[in-house]
Amino acid sequence: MSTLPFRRDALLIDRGHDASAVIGRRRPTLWQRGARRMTHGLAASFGTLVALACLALFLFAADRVFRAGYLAPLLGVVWDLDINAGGQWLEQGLLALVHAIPGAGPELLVILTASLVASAIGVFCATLRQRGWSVPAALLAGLLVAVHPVTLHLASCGQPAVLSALAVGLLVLCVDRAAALNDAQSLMTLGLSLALLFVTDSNALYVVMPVLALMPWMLREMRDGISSAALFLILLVPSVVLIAALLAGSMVVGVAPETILRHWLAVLHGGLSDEMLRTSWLVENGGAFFTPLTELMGLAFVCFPALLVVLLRLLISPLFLRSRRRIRFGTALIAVTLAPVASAFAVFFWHQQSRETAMAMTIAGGCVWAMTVSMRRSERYLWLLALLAGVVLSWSTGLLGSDVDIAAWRTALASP
Amino acid sequence: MSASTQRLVPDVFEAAVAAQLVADGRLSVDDVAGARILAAKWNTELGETLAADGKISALEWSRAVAAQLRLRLVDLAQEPPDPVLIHANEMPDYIRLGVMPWRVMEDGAVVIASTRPLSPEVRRWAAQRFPNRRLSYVVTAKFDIIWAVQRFFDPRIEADAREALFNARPDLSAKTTLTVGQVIVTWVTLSLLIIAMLLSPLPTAILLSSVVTVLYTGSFLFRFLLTWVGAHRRMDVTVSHAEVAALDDAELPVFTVLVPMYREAAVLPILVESIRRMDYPRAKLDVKLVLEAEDVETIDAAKALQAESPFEIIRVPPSEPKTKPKACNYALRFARGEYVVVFDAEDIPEADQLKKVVAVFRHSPPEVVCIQARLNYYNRDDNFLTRMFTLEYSHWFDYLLPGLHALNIPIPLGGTSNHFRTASLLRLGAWDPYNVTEDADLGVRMTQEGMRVVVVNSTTYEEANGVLGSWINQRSRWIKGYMQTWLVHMRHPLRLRRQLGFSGFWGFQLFIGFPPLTALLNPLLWLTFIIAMIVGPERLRPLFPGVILYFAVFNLLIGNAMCVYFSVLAVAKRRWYLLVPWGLLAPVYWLLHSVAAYKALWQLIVKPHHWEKTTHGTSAATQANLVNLAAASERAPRGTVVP
Repeated sequence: MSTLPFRRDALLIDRGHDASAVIGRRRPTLWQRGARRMTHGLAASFGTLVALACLALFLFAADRVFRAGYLAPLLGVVWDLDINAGGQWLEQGLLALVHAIPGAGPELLVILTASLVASAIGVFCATLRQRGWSVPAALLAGLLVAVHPVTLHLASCGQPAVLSALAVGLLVLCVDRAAALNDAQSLMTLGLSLALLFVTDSNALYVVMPVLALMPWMLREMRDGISSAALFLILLVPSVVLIAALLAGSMVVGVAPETILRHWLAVLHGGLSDEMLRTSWLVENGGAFFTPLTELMGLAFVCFPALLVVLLRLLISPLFLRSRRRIRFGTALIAVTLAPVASAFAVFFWHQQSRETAMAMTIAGGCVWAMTVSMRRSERYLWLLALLAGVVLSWSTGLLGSDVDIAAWRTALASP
Repeated sequence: MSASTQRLVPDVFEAAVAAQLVADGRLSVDDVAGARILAAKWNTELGETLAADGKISALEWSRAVAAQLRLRLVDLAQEPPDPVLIHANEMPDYIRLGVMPWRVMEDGAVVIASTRPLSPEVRRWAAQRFPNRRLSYVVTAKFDIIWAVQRFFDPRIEADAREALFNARPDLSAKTTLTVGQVIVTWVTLSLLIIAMLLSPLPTAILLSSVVTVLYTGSFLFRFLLTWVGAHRRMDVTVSHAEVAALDDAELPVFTVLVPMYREAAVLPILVESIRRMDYPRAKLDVKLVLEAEDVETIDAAKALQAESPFEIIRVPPSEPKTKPKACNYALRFARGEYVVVFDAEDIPEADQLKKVVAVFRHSPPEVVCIQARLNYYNRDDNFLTRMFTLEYSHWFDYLLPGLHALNIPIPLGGTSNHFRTASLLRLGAWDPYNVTEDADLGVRMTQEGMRVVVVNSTTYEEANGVLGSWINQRSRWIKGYMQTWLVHMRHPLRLRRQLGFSGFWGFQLFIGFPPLTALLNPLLWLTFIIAMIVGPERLRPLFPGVILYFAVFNLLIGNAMCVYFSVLAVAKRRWYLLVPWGLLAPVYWLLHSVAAYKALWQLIVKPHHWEKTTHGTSAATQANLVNLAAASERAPRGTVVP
């Protein structure tokens, strides 16, 4: 099969695309294929090395805050999480698995989150290499993301918010793929990533709604009411199925569906009373939309100024760049706006307790955007400089310091 | 094989014959001029081209050739060849070259009957066949050769069509449903199961439920994997319009089209029209309408169509089993094409399908011996059944088959539109006439022999079966065929494992063996679920201990929902968005599968080789198509192509 020179492209089957490009395309030679494989292999190896370095960094930080007495109570809360808390079913599933490991303790959670984030950064760096970034530039990008206080805090503290941030990153990646390729597999992937988000984050609805609202604009197949309804069905069936399965499954194992949905439904009903007043930020902003939106948007550009590059591309691409470069326009829009908008909605319903979650989503979205575009060299440098500035500003200004968790973590990290 | 790719008859002679026909008023100057252009473009003979275009019949051309050469025109039905001169092993030459030794004259000269007596290839063949003998020639017509071959070799061809595979490889034939070894294994297993149930019912039930649960989980995950892989845009072998346009008609080989039919006179015009519309040099088409000899109605309808020369009627002598693969095997012996394809009577293949297939074959390694076109339905909006059928077929051909191909798992070929290299097909023993899903079986045999199947981006549109009774009959045949195929290839499981490899072997189990079993088991599991809902899940908990319960819950909730999702997703590649919501009703459709599965099991026991005939022509779309064709043929004169 591999000897067939034909392009395999389902989208061409019924569309009758102009095929002159297909005829003109030459098969790669053995040497070219070998070189490509080697490039992929090297990129993967590079990604692995970066991931290992990040893991070491995260564990080092974890060790410091653990010794300072910050981590143990925090991990205890997560470790003893009510199994019926609902809404974060993936987290509960993972916790159940970890609990089942003989001799496992709360410390294992740190290894888990550190490994997950380090792996994600490894994939990020490997992808940048495949996109033509030089080794130093990709390495610098990965390390800067890793030392960002938001990343370092989530990775080194065994916090479940890591899963939400990664799920959002995956969602942005899938949205980009669906918009760019629009094939059946990308639709399937997007549907599954939505489902994953729903079982990962009890605030998923606030993330999903803006994404779905952008779909008719991003998916070129959504041309009329019928195609839109059909594609929404394709995208949402996995989520509905998964939630329905959780409910039915809970009944089979003797757990009341209300219990399973308790936390998740609370999101729709305006938050849980005992969680409402947990942070001053929520007390100040809860029930409002535009104030937290403005604040989160501003914070995003200060803590992760790499978004400026995204914004720049967003603003000028329709004017100056060729269509091939503009293809990531929707992804850029999502990368810039999704986290603040989704978080503002969550705050409006009194359900997002910290700005750190929004920042984590912002970083995930911005990194995924960088993975999906072919940047010019000047853009790459600009992106790196902005990222560096964001790291410096985040550490130095204490903008995130009003979040109680981060403030205490920083103190612990800085303690001798 | 490709006789038409070489100029066999001198141009000057052809021109003289054509001029004579013009002088006789049988042809117009324009007819001849047009045919000469086509003949030059296609690299075919003028007579073939005129006959293929319906300007003249093959017999008329032969008569003119005889007159021009001052040779006798012989009707082989009235004056058959001398049996002493006819050799069975020369039959392919007779068909391919249009030649037969006819008589020996008193002076010892051997008279050769041929449609092309001037052809150098015919002359060479005759000289080699009868060295040191004086040769003379008579002219005969193409159909006379076919009749004569049938007259002489019918018993042999018919026996070959039935028994060739069984005689050569009895272990690969479904003539015997269960071998002795399989009977013993089945008997021992069932006995042990019954004894275990009597002695220790609960552990045995737990064992059974565990095995079934794990198998279901494996099956669901496997289907997910196939769908996932098959959904990728790079999984489809795509021949572009430009690649098709780049093919030189002169270089195209003869393509044989087999159309087995039984009591399908009504839909015959659809097929003929579809073939006429094919973007392929008509003089290089070798279309066999394969009809049962006793099916007088269809034979008369085929004759009444007065189709052009490429259309030939092959009458299959009556014998058991009366199956499509036997008819195809019979007709295959008359094939002249380098490639051969099977179409059903109501099929409407996309016009460039044959060219796409030639393009793929040319760029494929020799082990690619079959190219499967995608099948789908033109009457999908008729009713619930046709909609669900369309979703099922779309998932099958657009996702699962490309997935199987990517994972190197045997591809069970679809019922029609599978294109073969003729020589490879014959070498493989062609279809198993005792297997009622002969194509699925052939796909497995090909993989066992190291051959490969490719799925191409061309669709043949068929009529979806929208009548419940007929649907169940058709589906029961398919399920029975899968049961037969599984039983045949599992006679030697270790050998199969060795030949197919790990993924091929387990793919075969999960894709061909397991679906009939699930269709049989599903009602039992649904019943179990309903009982659990009535009496409470706790009562059935002992049957699903520990982790098995989680697997069972996964199967029940996620696995089934996953299959529903595949139905929803099925038409995404084709953008038939109106059908998407219908995918949610898939479980109702599965119910019908189970009904058909029990009928299939019963038939496997009592009449394993019985072919449940599918009734075609029932849909409104087909009827409308036939009315349009009838109106068009009334407007257009005989022998011209309806645009």
